[in-house]
Amino acid sequence: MTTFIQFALLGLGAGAAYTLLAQGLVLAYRGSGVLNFAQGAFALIGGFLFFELRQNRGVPFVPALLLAVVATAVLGGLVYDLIMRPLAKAAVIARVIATLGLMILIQNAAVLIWGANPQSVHSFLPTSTLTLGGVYIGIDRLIMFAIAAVLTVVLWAVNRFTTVGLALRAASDNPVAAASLGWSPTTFGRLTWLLSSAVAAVAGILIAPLSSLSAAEMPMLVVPVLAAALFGALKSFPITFVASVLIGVGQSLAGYYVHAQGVAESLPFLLIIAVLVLRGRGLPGRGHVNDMLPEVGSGRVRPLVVIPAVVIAAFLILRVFPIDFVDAVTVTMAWALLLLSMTVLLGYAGQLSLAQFAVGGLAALLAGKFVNDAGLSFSVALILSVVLIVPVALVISLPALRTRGMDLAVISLGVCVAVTALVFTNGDLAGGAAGIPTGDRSFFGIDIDPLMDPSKYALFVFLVFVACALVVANVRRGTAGRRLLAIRTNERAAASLGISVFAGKGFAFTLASVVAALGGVTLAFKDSALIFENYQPMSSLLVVAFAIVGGVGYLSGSILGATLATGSIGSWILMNIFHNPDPAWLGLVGGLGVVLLAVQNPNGLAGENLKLLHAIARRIRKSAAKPESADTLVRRVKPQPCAPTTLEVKGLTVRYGGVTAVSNVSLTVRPGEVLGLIGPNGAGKTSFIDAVTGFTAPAAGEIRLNGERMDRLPAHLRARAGIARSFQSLELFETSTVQENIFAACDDGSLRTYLTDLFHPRTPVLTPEAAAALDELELTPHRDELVGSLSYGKRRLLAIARAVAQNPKVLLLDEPAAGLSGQEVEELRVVVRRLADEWGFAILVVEHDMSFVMQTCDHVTVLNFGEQIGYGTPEEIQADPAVVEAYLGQAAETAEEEPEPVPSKESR
Amino acid sequence: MTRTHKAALAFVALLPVLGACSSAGAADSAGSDGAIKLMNITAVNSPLQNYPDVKAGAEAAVKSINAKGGINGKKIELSFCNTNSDPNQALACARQAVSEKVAAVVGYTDTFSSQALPVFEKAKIPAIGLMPRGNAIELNSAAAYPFEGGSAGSSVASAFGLKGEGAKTIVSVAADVPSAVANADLVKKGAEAAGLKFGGSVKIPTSGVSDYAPFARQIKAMGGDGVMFNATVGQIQGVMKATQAVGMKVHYAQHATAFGVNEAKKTGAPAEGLLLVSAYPAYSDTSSEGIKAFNADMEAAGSTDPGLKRPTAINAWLSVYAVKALAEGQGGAPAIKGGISSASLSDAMAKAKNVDLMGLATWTPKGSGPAEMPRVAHASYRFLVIKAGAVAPTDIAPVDIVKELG
Repeated sequence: MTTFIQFALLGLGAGAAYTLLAQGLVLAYRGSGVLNFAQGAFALIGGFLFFELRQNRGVPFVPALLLAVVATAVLGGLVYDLIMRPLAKAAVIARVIATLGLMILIQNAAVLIWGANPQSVHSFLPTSTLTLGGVYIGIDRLIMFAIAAVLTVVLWAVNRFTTVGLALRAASDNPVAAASLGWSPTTFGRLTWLLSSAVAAVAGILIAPLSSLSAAEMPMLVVPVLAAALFGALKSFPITFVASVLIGVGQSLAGYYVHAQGVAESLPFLLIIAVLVLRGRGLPGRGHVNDMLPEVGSGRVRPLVVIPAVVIAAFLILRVFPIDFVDAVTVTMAWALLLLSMTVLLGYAGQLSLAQFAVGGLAALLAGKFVNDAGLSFSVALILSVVLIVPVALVISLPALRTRGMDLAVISLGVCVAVTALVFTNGDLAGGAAGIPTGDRSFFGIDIDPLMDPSKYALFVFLVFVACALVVANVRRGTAGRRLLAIRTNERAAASLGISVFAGKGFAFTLASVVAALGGVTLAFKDSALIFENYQPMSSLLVVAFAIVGGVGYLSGSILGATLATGSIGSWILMNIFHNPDPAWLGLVGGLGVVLLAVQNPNGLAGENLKLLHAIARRIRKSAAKPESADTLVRRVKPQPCAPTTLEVKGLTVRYGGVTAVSNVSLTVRPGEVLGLIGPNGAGKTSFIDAVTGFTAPAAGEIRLNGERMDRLPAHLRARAGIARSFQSLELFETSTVQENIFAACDDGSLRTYLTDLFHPRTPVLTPEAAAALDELELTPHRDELVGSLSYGKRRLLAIARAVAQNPKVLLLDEPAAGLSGQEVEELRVVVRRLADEWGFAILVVEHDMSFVMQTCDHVTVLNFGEQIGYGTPEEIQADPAVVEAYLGQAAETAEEEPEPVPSKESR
Repeated sequence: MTRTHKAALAFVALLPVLGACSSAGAADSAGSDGAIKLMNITAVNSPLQNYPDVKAGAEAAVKSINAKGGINGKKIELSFCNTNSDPNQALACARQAVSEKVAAVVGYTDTFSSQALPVFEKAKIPAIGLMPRGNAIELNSAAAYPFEGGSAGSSVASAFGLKGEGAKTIVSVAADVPSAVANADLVKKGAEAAGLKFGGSVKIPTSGVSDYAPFARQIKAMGGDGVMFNATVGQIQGVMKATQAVGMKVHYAQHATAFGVNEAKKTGAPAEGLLLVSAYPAYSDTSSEGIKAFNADMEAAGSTDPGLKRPTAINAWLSVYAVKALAEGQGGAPAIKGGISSASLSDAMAKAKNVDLMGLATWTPKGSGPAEMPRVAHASYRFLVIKAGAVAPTDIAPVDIVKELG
């Protein structure tokens, strides 16, 4: 027991260190929405500045401390103004990648200034120990723990009890709303980055005496710190503190008691994966704000360009390029495969997974085992490893079903850390120091051994890339690609259109894992032995960084980004121009390059290059490029009435924790009927719709469509069954055109499409219902316009048109008239009536506009505090005293209490 | 011009900075008439590995030999390739050696030898004086001609040195990577050969460690009073400070090839008394004629910084002299009459035995050694110490690990 307590106490030092770094990370995230991967690098700067002033130049303690902290804080402020502010409207991932470039830049700057060797630092805290009952702890660790605790309390108190804290919470939850109230996001961003950097400097100054000032090691402390910050959901300072301490203590105990390889190192992430998966939800909640994501290319392939290019490249690789350049081509193409997997996963599906390099590494390990242990040929081993990596990658992707955005990024990074610690550095599994011999490399009898003549192997990898790129291009152009883009843009909307988010994400992860596996195997097998201790989590971060800089939404972006990898064509050029350049300068310029490119073009190089090429092509052709437009029906189409379907809801109850939002509500919507659902704010109307459509799980009740139970089906299957909805918050695909939004509704949802699209993508076609919906809502003239450019009224109509285009039988409209002008409301009323009378839909309308409800609806149900308090015709409802009192009656009460008019002077 | 293209231009404009910071020694593919082409490959100024002393040692030897007329009347042309601690660059350096048709690679010191050695094997280029860093291929490859067992050898020898300091229970502290862990097993072997108890292995993750106190406590729990490191300099600093902070009385040992004056300077007081296991005498041991010659050559080449005089520098320096020794017919092999090429050097090495390398090492290129280092026929280790920031000899008797391992 004493030993247990001893090791637990010894973990407090690390816990305090993690706390100091994590709280700074949380602060910066709350103020600017950016996960700062350079937090450990800022700690390094602070630590080195303090050391330089105090130990090297003899500056007294307090001035040295203040100068170091202030200088680091100023650096943080400058970083915010010069890098983060210009990226404020960019995709979140571009901002994260900029911080990664910053980390590399700072790391290498430290090497250039202070040397590559770690620097030991004297402690300025007392280093004696406190011993009690046979256990001891250093006084310096206790003081550090106290500082971490005090910092946590201060941050919590400021956050909870001050106006600044309130404003920070508001800005963190909804920057736009906070800005409209006069709280400037820029001010908060700058302030939090200043403070966060100051805290990082204090952390570096305190941590350095416990370990060392190492440019290689201190910046990487950000990795376990991310786990602690994520436990606190990147907002709770107290939970972050507790998590940091638990991680430090846990690692100390695991290091002593658990002898299994890599457990201590991967512990924080194994825990965070479990917590987030349990805490997460399958579909985002109502308040979820969709992250901005980079632009996406069209996936169009021009055979007249591609075929000659491939032939010429093959000739050059086989016959012309010198051997060392051919090696660089191999590395570039293998990395391009890894980056292409990110195009599928992040570019198309919006899944910010940082585990792709680990997936590639695992595939390489499998292939190595097949070759070395099972004696299989390289070709068979390659195919088997690619096939077998899929279930592994799907297991890794399971957290993606319940998390998203930065949560998913950190979890997947954690998977990388765990795989590295548990597998790649495990000598028994991964071949030990000698690695795993790769044996003879031949592909179905063709010798491609790269040892002395790498040209055939380079050609092989190049052709594998071309094949994968063509498949990915097919996906982009097909229905599968549209589904992924819908999921990426708005998961809730995608599910409401019958798109299975689960299937879509599963497809994205499967395809991405296949491509990443090909990249990992081809990269590893270019060497004579597979040495896995080189597979570090940093490589996974670099995969994302290079993908973003190259242009993650574009196929050509994967090649452009791959030229940034060490050993690639970019490296070759630099090595041959400069001959043995200092690696620290190389790293510094590289880091700066990533930052500059992320800031100047957050959508990546490929998009800009393509726009330039198109502009040149247009000039050559001297005609404007016609926008893409698939087959559409322009003439007015007479709608076909749908099969009569009745929606029955019995005893529906919805609870959120201890709050009952909907209590035992029953109603029936018949074909051709418009049923209004009204009630004061908070009455449970949207919760009702969410429960009927599958976006919230009810606590009790039945939902039937023509007698068939629906309440056990997920949202997308209810949509397929014929229940369509619009959202209060519209949930349109903002960066797509009107037509593309409608196309998403035309999808038949067939899973076979995921397979057929790989080889033969279908041209999108508007169904008759979709064309009629566009026509009905008078959106046909706007079909090629981006949603973002439409007026608010048109956007509302588009939301309804999209629901109608699904060819539903039941239509649930959530506040369709909100924000519309009087004229628009009248037009909407006519449309809704026509949808019921001519199209035969059963329609439920939630609205606050009473004149709309009373003039449009056949019947009205009234909710108040989640309970049904009235049902009847509009006239009956208007006369119902309970309804009048609860909902309409405030006006009546007000009318009763109105003061007597003051008599005029003449009347007295 | 779009913003992107402006940014790209700005980025390109910075590249000349790299040119200013490039090291000299660009490869010259066309050597002067009859010159003996050698290449030195190592990692310089990268956070993971930093061996400027290897480059300095090789250059000093070449300069000195050329000043005295070269080898068999021919000058040596030495080119250098920096691996940047990157496996792809390590392969590129190997390719460069092949394309330049070097006669030998001298003093090769790099973690990513598994990339390079297969290329050298295929091209039949010998890596003379390769310094083993923990990869098994370095001690098995037909292209590798180490003079000593490198980190594997010093791992075995360390227990003898620690015994000489009075340690009774040896603990291995290693970075949690397979190559270091493999060396940790050799520490155990050495402890057993020295008749000491082996307390266990402490493994330290390569990233995410902010406090070394728990690892110090693990050493205590294992009863260790003698510690051999197979860890990074940062990890060594952390563990030493943590054990000293709680008053633990532990003797430490580290590979002299990875810890010299510069590392001692960065570590400060905790490094005082650190035992260094080395195949070669300390640079300050002027009783050794070989060391005197080394120091003289280094001074003449302008490499006066003691931080450039780790055993890795001595090894690289010796590797060039080894080429000279083979060319001159030492070790019983006939002198090389024609051009010095990889073929003629390989022939000479097939026959040479017990070549005296400046009195600092005895070398049988094709000799066989123990199972742990089959290509190392001789490996005697001595024990140096950090004293007042410098590397000094000790009185602890050297140990022949080939004999100890049988």
